[in-house]
Amino acid sequence: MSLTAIARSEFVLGVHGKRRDSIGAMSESSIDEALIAAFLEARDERAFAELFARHKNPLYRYMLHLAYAREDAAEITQLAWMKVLDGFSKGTYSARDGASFKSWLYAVANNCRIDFYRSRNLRLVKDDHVSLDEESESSASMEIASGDNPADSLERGQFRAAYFKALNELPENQRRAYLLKEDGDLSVDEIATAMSVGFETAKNYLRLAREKLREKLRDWHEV
Amino acid sequence: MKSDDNLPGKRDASSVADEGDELSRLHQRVSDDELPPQVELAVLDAARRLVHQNAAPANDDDERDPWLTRVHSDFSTDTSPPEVDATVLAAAGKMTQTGRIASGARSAPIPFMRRLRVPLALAAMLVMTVMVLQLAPRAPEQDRIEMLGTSSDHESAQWLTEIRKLIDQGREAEAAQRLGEYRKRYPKLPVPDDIRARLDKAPGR
Repeated sequence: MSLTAIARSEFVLGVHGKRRDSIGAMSESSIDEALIAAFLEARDERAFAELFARHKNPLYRYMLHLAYAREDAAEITQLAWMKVLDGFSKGTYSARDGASFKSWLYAVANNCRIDFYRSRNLRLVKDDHVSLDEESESSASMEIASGDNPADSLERGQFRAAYFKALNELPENQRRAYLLKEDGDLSVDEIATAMSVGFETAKNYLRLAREKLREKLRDWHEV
Repeated sequence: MKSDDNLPGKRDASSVADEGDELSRLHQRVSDDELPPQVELAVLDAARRLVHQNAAPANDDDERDPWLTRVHSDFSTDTSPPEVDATVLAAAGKMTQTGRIASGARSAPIPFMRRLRVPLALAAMLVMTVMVLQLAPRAPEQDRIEMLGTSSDHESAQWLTEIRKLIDQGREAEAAQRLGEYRKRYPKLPVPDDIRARLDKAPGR
């Protein structure tokens, strides 16, 4: 497939007077910027749909691990996207600020999460996440029900439960940094921007999160 | 130690097949000639990226733990709920049509105290300003002017009292003379009506 697509991309670039080597240099954030520009300048819904499709699932998963309940995660994710659209219409987001769209998106989502719980007079407390424990238990039983080999499925379900439990026990900053990396695929720079911390701090959060997870999941680690 | 083919870490042919499906989907979208150039460019670039995904090392590889990454990607597989997708895309559609997001799309109600934050801050600032102005030391020049004004009021009143006395005693000529002096001295102060009337009625005027 790729030969046709790449040949066509050559044509597109030729039309737009861009050089071929610029394709290779085009980063993920450049794609986001191109889609945002198409949405805002050409008012093309499909550009936003593409942008949304690129980030909706990672953002939802990220929020699922941080929210107290599954329904909250859905609502907060929706609020975050509304804020993003609001930001586009008001010009709050600008690529020239230097931050990538992804880091802005996840920062907006986290602010929405804080506002969401604040408006319900709930404080974000570490180790108070009930959703993941519940999810872990239910998913473990689901694995048993749907798996071909009950013993394997049981083991996998237990591992999943152990993983989410260990993740849930991480301090919030470390958990956020880890999830931004694993769910959002953000670079350390982007994580630092999204969390409003320095590069080294973000790197440290990631390192500590990984160390703690590996320690807690030591028994499950493959040789 | 657990070691099982079902456990994460064993990326099999199915994930490669998924990538193939994704490529086909993107190719189909590019081929339909409906996407605007910017989107087309972005989609094609994403397709190209997918082709080279397995060969190219991921960004910040040193910040990843391959085993944990595999575990996470295998266990964290939820997808965004369809109702959320529909709401967001509808809001985006509305934005392109109207140029702004419909107010109904913003669902989070603003907490009561946050709504009052600005008016309360303004009211507090106003009260503080008034208090500061009240408590501020007065300028000496202003005090002097007011003292002068007060003393001149007192003096003029004395003059008028004296003029009335003269009229009462039937010494209208002297009273009129005094009134003339009073007018010269206090040209901006009005002559009370009772004095003017009594002097006007006085014989010889």
